[in-house]
Amino acid sequence: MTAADVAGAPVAGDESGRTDPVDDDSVARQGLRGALFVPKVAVNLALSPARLSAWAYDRYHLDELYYRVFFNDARTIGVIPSASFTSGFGINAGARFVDRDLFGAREQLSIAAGIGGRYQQVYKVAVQSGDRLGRVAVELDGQYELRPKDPFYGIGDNDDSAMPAAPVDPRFDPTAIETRYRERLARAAGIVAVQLVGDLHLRSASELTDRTFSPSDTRDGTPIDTVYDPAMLVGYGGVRYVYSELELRFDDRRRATQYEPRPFYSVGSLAAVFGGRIHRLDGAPDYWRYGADLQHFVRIGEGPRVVALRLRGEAVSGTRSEVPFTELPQLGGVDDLRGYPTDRFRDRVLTLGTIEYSWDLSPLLSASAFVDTGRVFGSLDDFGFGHLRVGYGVALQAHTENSFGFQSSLSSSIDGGLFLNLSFNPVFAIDERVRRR
Amino acid sequence: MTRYAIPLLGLAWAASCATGEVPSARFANAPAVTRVDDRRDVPDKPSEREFIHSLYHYDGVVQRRLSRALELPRTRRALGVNALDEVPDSTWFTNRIGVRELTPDEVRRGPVQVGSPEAHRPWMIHSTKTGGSEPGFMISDARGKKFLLKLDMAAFPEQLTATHVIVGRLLWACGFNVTEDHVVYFRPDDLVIAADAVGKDVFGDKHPLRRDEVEAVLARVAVEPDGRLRGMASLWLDGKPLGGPPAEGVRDDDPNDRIPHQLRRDLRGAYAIFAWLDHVDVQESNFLDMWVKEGDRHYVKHYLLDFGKALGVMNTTGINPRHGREYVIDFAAIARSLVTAGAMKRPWEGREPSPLRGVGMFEADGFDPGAWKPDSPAYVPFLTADRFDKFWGARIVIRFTREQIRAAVDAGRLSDPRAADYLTDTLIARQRATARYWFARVNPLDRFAAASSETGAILCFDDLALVHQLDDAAATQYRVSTYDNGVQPLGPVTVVRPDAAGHACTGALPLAASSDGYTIVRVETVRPGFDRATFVHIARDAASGAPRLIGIWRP
Repeated sequence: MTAADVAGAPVAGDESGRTDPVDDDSVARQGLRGALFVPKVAVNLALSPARLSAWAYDRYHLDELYYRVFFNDARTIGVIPSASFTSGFGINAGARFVDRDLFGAREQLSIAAGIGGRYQQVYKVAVQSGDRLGRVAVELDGQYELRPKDPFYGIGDNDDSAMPAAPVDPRFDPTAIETRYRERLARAAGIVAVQLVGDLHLRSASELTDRTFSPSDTRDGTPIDTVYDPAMLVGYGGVRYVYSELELRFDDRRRATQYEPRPFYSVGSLAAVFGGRIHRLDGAPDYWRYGADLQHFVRIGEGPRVVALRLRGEAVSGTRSEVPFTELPQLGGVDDLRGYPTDRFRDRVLTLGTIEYSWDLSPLLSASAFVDTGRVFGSLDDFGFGHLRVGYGVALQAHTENSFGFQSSLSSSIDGGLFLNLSFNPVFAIDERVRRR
Repeated sequence: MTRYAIPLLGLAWAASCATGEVPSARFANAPAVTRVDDRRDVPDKPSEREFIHSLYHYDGVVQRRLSRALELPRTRRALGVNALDEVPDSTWFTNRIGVRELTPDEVRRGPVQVGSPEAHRPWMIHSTKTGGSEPGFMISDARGKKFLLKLDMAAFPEQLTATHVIVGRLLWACGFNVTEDHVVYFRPDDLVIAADAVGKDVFGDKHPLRRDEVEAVLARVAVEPDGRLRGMASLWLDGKPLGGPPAEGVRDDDPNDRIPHQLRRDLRGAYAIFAWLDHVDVQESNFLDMWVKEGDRHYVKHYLLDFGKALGVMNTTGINPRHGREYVIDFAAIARSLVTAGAMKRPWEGREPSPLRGVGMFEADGFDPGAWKPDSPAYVPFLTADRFDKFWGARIVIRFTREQIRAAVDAGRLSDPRAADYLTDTLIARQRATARYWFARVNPLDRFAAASSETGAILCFDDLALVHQLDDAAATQYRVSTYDNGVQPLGPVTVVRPDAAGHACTGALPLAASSDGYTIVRVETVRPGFDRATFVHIARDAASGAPRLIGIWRP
């Protein structure tokens, strides 16, 4: 059709042939619209930073710009910013340098530094063998942390208590008060993992660790030495040890279909048992650490909708008078016994059970509701189902198809309290002993 | 007094109902407009609209959505519609299928201007393609014709190329302006890098195009068993590109663009057509306005682009079964899932990709023509579209014969005949679902014709639900009543029945006594579970005195 074909035809908008009066807005609607003008402007103003960000993101290709500025062309070498928030600790921010292909077989070098919040300073370096050694994976880690206000609530499964008149011996006294201590941690670790067959792996890990402690600043909470007698806090004068362990791990956790996000397991199981020896370099007695982690994922619907079950147990063979207070198995926080403060409980034996139902909200968003239950015991002989601590909550997870973004959780417990946490690690990640705090 | 009050009130109520049921729409006694002149000279090139993807979707999903709600927009009938409730030809839309004879061969060829470049190799590469997920190049063939060459991703052979062409053919037959697209086969050495060829990154930075860059692109694409590559060549449009039209309002610098886009019937009614085709990738960048030159004048012509993710291909290439059933960011779906803790079955559950080569996640089972969603709520015409717009679209969709659909599918040059059979069958099943759905929401009477009778006029029409065997002719009847321009009844209500083919004619209807005999005929379709009316406006042609249709109003 050409302009000549339409010559003489009515212009667009005049084609209706209607002769009745044009239907227009009612006076009431016009009035209401006028009244909503100011709220509309307010909404637009309030949202303008987000709009500006959306504009700038695309207009200047900020994602590509980030890679252009912080990564090489192959995107194997670059710098990644990091941040986290934990209730009671605040925001931690930092950056990580990575080289994901050191020698052409996806060998990885990672150097990270962070500051603030839970870690006043943290520096980490890690080298991984990638595909270089086939079924064998080797990793070497180095770590240095200055932690200004780690919590200590005494030893044992004790309820919150009143301030004692004088510092107490935490090995025997049930006083449980939130106190804070300062720690310097230096660690070198090595891990060798061998794929035995299929999903069965044997892992050997060793670490050389040096820790020193001191009271926290009073601005960060109650210093540990005002409640607990430093002389009775095992290891408070400093700890140096070598820890070596063997772990047998069966792990076939995975997504069920390609339509589900890779970072979330929807089927499969994990069964890991480990045992290791702590050899003290500071003259104190050696002892054993051992435990197990069992996880099973039941996919009950598309999306996926998944029920995850977890049982975890850990123990040390040394007595309370032998095992440094920081080396006792701990419960409470973002990953273990959610709904309780970080490291709320510690003792020689730890048990934890989790049931978590998670479901997708969109391809990029999932939700979960969880119940964690567990407690610490003074010894295996004390094990029982009485006086279990129970935490519960809900969480939202953001992710892409291939990677975990973050999890924001709101949790509480039968003992009260409310915790809002932001975590960049999946909850069902395996606790690596040689990287623990 | 009280004894008579109730009967009198009843009579008054009945009288008000009798007149109140005739809508206020009135039409000029004139032939309906079949084309509009929106090709008036636009001597100055309108500004090019920059598409900023994140901003567009942010606005569509969040901010503009909120601010629009605060503007209290009222529901408005579409504009760009003539007196017979049809869309006249324009730079946006040209009536084709059902309005003129359209052979299957025409559908297979589509909007052909220069023909396929396949026989005109080698092809010169001028640049790499930027934007979109699929690999490709800008090329010119041995005739010097310029094409955009898109290639299938290795994991999804034939899907993108076939779908692009098939859907393009169908949309062209529907009446939209689309590019001339061809599925082509070639060998890597048919691609020659032009001396001035450039590679472009997302920042627009250019550098001389290297062979290894071309090979890197080709390494990502599907390769035929005989080593050939398969592509989709899209002829570069004439004119100067202006970007996509805004989803709301008009182009201020195009004086021919007079109807706010959110009110255009052709854009709103496309919902039913896009749903049929599962063309979910609806965003401003997939529309293109071209400032074209015709003789001494310039004007803006409006195109649809980029259909390669329709027919369920977005689901397979995007690895997400939700496309077409939810927005990519669908707050309502998120809220429903959150509140119900995932207990509710979602409409995309159970979907599986087709095992057939070249076929996406495209099926008729579970297709709900009224609940279909494009990827984003940013495209406002689909938010403002009402059942009348979608009925218009459904009327176009149902006009396709199996042969015409098959011809479009054949243009996709699928290597597996089972894939072509499947797509044809599925398109037909979805076509019928589309018609069944929207014909149940608007009185599906169409093709009205008025003829003279001794005492007035005879009105004939087709019941599309019966013509297409979606409902039962034996259970259908039409109650016909007539009114003058002042809504005074002209005669008793009569009842007519359709023939087996869904065609019906009234008896002689009285025309109003006014000079032009302006008469409103109310045709109420009654069948089990359905009772809706259409108002047909008739008047005498001043020249011949014969009754003619001057308006149709579907309430």
